[in-house]
Amino acid sequence: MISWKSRQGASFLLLALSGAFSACSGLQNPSSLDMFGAAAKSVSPVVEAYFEFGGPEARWAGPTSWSIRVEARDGEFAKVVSQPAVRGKVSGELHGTGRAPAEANGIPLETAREALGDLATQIQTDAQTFAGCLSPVRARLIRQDGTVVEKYGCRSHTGWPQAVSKVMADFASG
Amino acid sequence: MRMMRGKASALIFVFPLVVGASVGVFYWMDSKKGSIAVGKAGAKGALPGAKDGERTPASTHDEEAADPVVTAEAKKQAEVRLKAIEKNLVAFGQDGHGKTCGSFEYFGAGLNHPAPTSADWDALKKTYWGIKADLEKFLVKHQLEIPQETWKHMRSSLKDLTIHKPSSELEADLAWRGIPVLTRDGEGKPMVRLGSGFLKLFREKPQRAKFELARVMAQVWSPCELSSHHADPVWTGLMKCMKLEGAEGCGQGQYSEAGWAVSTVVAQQVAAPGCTIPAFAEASGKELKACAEEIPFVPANNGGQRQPASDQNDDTDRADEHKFDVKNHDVKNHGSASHSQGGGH
Repeated sequence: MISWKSRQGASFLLLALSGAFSACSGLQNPSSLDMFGAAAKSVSPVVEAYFEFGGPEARWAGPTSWSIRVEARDGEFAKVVSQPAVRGKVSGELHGTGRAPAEANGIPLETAREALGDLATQIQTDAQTFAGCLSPVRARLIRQDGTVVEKYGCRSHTGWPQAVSKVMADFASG
Repeated sequence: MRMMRGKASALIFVFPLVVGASVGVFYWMDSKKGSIAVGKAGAKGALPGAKDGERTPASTHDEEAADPVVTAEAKKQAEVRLKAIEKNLVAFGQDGHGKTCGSFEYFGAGLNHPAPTSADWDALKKTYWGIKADLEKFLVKHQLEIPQETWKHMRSSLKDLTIHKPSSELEADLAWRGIPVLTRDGEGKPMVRLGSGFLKLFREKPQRAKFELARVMAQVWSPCELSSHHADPVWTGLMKCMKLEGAEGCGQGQYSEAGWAVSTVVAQQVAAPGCTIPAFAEASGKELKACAEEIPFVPANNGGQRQPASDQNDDTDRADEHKFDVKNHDVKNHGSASHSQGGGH
């Protein structure tokens, strides 16, 4: 099996060869790179997000729902609110921050936007469906231009629900 | 002058080749070290603890990895640290012991929550095997009330079930939770994954922990699980009795309350929680409790008649055949990937 890095190595070699031939024949066109950059920048950043792992009805006394809301509109850091607050004093100590739950907001704005943007892309490209879910997952992301990316899924599915799980854990870690 | 221009052209041609080749060789050599690192924690845009690139395919993690060799002193230190951390975990909800149960869990300490001690893990595995054996007994007890093919499927689902330690890479949110969940491995087989705080629940409130574990294990028999495998709807009678008809929720994009009802009823029979489930404490609770105690299975295809002795013996043999050979095959360490294509949990 070819590993990811082997493939990367081969890709770089091919890139080098094509670059050399382009340089030689005078066909290199830097404006195409600018166009790619412009296209990437045209996607409005995700400035707000809401994630939830749902629990069953209270009458079954099952796991409680856990949600996280992230606001990355302005300021230096993203604002993260966990409901319920999962982070105790001990968690802050574990992560070397010593912050109390209410202060768990130490993720730089740009870092948060980038993570949320990646997740939005993954959610939008993941077409898998589910049926008869016991542990539902919900993700709602709002871009600066007001567009909303929203999806419902199931914990046991691979793909975007796993990515939401990771992002929630990371934001809770702050 | 012409010579210099010639040299410059040569450089333009050679430079990207050299740079590209160097980078390519670097990556190729790095790949030989066996690591896959698409994105690294701490890189620009990476959240704290982010290890997305280190996600490993399911197939490489399905074997139980041996615990690394550690000195007795290091082991003791790790245990002391774990105990100190667990002492301060946040408790959420009301256990309701002796009264009405509530949602209850000890939240985990996050992505750096230490792994359970081997003593704790061994004790938990023993409980898990015990529950599995009790669920098997439940199945054998109701063998004649369940259509044969469905019964076989239910037994095979239970046999396939495995349990996994908390992981910071997969189901990462569970690092902050104290619940067990039912999910799927790379081959679509069911597995229980534990939240980091669950070990504390197991130590502090073993009866409740056992019930919660039994409940997620019983979810392999939920109505939607069975229907996704085209098995007979064995829980229809129970749903009707509990006035939950139409709550199956097995359609596209639907949530299934019936799955929680069924798994709660089954779990109560093999590991009572030590408190009353709120549904059974409601006004109609007595009726519901009666349904839960005497589960009205849908009559089998033979009209509810007991099956011929030969079939019965055959099935009994099959039940004895594996007697839950769970001891070594179904307990996995924390690295296993979870994937699912089938019915949701």
